Amino acid sequence: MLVSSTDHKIPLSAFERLTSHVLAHWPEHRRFLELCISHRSPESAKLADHIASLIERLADGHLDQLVSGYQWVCNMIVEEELVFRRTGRYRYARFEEVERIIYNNKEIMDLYMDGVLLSQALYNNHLHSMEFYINEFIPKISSRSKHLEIGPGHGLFLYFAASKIDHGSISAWDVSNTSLSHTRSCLDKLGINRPVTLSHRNLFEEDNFQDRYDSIVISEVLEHLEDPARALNILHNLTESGGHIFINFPVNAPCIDHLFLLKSPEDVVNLVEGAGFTIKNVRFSPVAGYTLERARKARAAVSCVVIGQKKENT
Amino acid sequence: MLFQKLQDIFSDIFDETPLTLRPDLTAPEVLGWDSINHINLVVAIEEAFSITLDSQEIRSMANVGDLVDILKRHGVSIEWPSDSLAH
Repeated sequence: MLVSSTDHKIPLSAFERLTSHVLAHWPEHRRFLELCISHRSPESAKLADHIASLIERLADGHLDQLVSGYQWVCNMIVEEELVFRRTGRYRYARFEEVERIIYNNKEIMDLYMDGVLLSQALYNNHLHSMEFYINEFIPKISSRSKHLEIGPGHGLFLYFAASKIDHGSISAWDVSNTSLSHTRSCLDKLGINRPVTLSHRNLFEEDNFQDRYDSIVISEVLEHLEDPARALNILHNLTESGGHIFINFPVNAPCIDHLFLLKSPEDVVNLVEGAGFTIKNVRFSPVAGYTLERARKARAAVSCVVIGQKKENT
Repeated sequence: MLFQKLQDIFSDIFDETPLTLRPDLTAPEVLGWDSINHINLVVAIEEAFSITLDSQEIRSMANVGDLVDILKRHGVSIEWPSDSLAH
């Protein structure tokens, strides 16, 4: 439930503390948050609370800063929706454009990363994607898995993978050393003590197919690339026979640095199949307030999560 | 008539909701008038009247009356029917 910052008669849950903090800074956001939480299952609400507690650890006393970032992200998405609905396209199509305007701008990147972190607990489509990851993909990982994540960001996906993998290995790649430093800091704050290898590597420059992984995660990365099909082909080569991949690719989801527009969940499934993976499970989560049917009709954003498997003996 | 044109746009965007425009009509009163449909509404109005609104104008409109005032500033003068002003 949403509480005001003065309703402190009983201890607040982590999620209540988080939303209370957001609303103290941005009271106009109440209607959206009420929409988000109105139809959450008890299980989803419990996960949101867990994620909120992790966010508090990552905030390390600077929750105001994260809330500012979250507000920036929300306002940015409205601007990008306007471009999307006027033109039918995302604003940018070339990586070099977003690299120059976004990725090389520390102030924007700090706001962006902080905002994305909060959205994991607040946005329904992000929460449900994480729920699917925990409930459907993590069980497919053995304790001895050789695991890889592309673009680990705030480290929450690594956090849940690390809880499963005792004897295997966990690696993560990113093209940005700044992002990797941020991930390392997040992993430390989350208390992940087991080794996690963070490497500055570009997927498109990978030619070492001697390395193969039992489980690969690429969440909300492919839409930032000019050629996601090529990326998936490379990831297929990097997947061990019988191994699994977790892909989260939002469709009709304008954002400042989204480059590749897919218009339906089926486009995502086709992309994954086209790379040679067998589809094992999917979940399509529309933005808050929309059923999947209504989101399709309205071209509203849908987070499309696909679990694929590489065929055995390939 | 420009008012009817605006009414038709609203009816098209919120096609499951019977709707009569009045100046103090706000988004919470209209089923489906969320942030996405607000932008769809703005884009449809821009196309219908050949204007472009800026972000500040889009965010600032608290009700349909504000929208009509903004349209007037863009040279689109919409006169309210007398019965819509009696609410």
